[in-house]
Amino acid sequence: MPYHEVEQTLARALTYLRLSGITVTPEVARGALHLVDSALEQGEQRLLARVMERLPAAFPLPEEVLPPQTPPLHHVSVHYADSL
Amino acid sequence: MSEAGDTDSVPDLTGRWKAVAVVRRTVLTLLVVGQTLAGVYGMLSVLPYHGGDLLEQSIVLLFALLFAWISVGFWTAMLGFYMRRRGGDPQSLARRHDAATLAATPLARTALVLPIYNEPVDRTLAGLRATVESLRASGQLDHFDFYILSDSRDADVWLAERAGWYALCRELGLEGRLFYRHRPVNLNFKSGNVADFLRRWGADYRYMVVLDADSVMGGDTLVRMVRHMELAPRIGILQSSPSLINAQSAFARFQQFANRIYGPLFSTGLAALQLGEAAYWGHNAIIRTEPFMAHCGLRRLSGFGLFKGSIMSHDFVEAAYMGRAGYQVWMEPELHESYEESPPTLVDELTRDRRWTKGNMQHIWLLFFGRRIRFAHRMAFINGILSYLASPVWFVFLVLTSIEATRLTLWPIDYFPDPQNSMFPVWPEWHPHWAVAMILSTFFLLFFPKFLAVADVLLSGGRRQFGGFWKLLVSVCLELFVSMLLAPIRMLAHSRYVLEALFNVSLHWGGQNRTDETGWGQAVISQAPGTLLAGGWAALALWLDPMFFYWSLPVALPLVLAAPTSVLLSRVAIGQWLRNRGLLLTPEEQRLIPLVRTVAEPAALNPTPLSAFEVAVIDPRLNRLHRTQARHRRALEPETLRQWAQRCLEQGPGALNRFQLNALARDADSLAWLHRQAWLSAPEDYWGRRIGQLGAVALPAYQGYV
Repeated sequence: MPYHEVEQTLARALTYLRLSGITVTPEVARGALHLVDSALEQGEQRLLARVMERLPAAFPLPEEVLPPQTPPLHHVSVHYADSL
Repeated sequence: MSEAGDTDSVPDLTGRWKAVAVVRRTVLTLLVVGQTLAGVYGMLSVLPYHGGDLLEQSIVLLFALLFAWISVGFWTAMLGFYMRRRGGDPQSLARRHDAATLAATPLARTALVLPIYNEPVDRTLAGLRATVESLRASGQLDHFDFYILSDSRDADVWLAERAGWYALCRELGLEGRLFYRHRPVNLNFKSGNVADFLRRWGADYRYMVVLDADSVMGGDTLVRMVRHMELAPRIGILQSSPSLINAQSAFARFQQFANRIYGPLFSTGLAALQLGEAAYWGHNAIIRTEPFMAHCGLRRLSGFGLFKGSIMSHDFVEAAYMGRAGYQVWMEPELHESYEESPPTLVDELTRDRRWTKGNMQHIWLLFFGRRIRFAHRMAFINGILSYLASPVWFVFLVLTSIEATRLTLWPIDYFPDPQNSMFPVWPEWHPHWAVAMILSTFFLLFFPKFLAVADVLLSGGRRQFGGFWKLLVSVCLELFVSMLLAPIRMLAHSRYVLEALFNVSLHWGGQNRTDETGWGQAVISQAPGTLLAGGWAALALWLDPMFFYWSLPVALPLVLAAPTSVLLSRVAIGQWLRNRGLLLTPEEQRLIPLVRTVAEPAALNPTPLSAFEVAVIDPRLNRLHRTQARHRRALEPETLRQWAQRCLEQGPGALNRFQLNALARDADSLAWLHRQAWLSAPEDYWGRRIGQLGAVALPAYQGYV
């Protein structure tokens, strides 16, 4: 397997973690390396897919509480006059 | 809903202002009619046959209409000057309660609603942020909620809006107070959007403040407006008089300067005439929700052509309906810190005017068939209609005067223009000095109010806010020159728009709807008909009579120069050049208050090179946000969506049309699938490259985005 594929897989995993709001500390980087390493042990095929599938389990992604997009509905009618 | 909505328990002050309004309007009518009759007498004297035939009678009729129209403007400005010099209108709302009474008045729940439709997201949300921060500074933020009401149709726009809403919630700590609603179907335009809000959440608020996409309002002003409404429950709508800000191009700077220096005079005069029967301008106004919901629903017009279907210019009609329901509508020029922006170019302004022309022409139907609408609000309809109808009237007036000049030069003199009624010959007379007097008196009506506005600034000690006396004087002269250049161009464009509206057709002759600087090619193409028409007219005038040629020049020359005028005025560099020389300055620029500063250069909400759709697919947090808000109930066949998603994955969003992108962006499963597959893409694939670009963005800025 070309070396750069492993490198790209690691970079992709770290990018995903960063964009998910996880600060990439040395510990996180080691965890990602370990994830790639363990995925490699199972073969070189579908390396990226296996790493990305295991990422959420290996690094619990922060679940931000999303603000409500709209408040609860309080339906009323808008009245129309009988004439213009 | 609110006890304040019970108008029976409130002292009715209508009698006093109504009596004053009757007196003022009667005086205005007498002045305008008297001045117009004098003008007509002068015109009859100028015409060779003194109105002795149909052609001259038609000329006089059109002249009377135009003269009356500018006379109304003249006397409105005179009244405004008088009111401002005496320290304000004693009948105005601002004079009704002292500061202590206002400060002691508790506030009521108010919603600020921001209806938007494919607007620049960064600028729009920067304006909202500025308004929120100002309210926070006023210490009264807790009484207000905020609604972004989107009718945007492009996925890239509304996804960016939603991401911006989320960022703004977090930045301002307004979770659960700042909301975002995206209508899947934009029924009945802006008024339908606001009605949709009212049906869902209107009952939760005693008031709503309607903003435009480019609106900014000060917190103290908003608080003051709510308190005025609380103190006067018979007021249904309170309209502020927005000033223009943030002008960059030369065109926008001229509009901003004119609005800032002449605006107070005209708005004060207008408010003094309208009092409690003012118009609503559609934004920067506070509305009492309960009567608005009860009385201001807009029925579809039931006529023919233009007069059938949804009402496009809703604001005047809503004000009229509010008045019909027994509520007052006030416009208060002394409510400061109310801002909006000018269109950046002439092309943008005319694009907007095209919509407004249609909307105002629709009011002809309501003028005649609207029942129980107050006379003052019918006059407001006429005012809006004539704002555009005056252009074709002027155009026809020019055509008839050209025919008159042609007739005098080429045709034999008709000594018996009315043979049935006269046995004696009529000798055509020409009095050039009377003609000059007529032209001068017309110019006086048009331009004297502008100099009066300058006098008002000088007498108020505000000249330094406009750059000092000499720069103010040069700025006014420049503005006069540019307004004379623009008037015939607007006249011709508005004439076309009126024809389009009345015959319910669309007459295209050039691409429009731009927000960037105007290019030479576009300007030449779009202005070519006017340029050719004016060139031909001036040539005919020169051939007929050199005097007629000189008379035609003030109209013909601006039309011949329309293309360079349009291009040069759209240039930001020229706007900045004027500003650097201290010309066309306004007080807001001199003293850049935080409210204005924050919208002058809005920070990019999405600093990445990716589109909002691409970010929504790739970014884990935004993908989750959009999935949470997306539909789980599919409107389309799953197989269809899967095929579109597959194409999007292989070729990128550019391979899909707007409908397909909207469908994917609204579908939670499609968004989730695209997100998973995009992250599995090889680096050289479309989405792999996009992930690389997103990952390369400096993270501190990007993290600020979400």
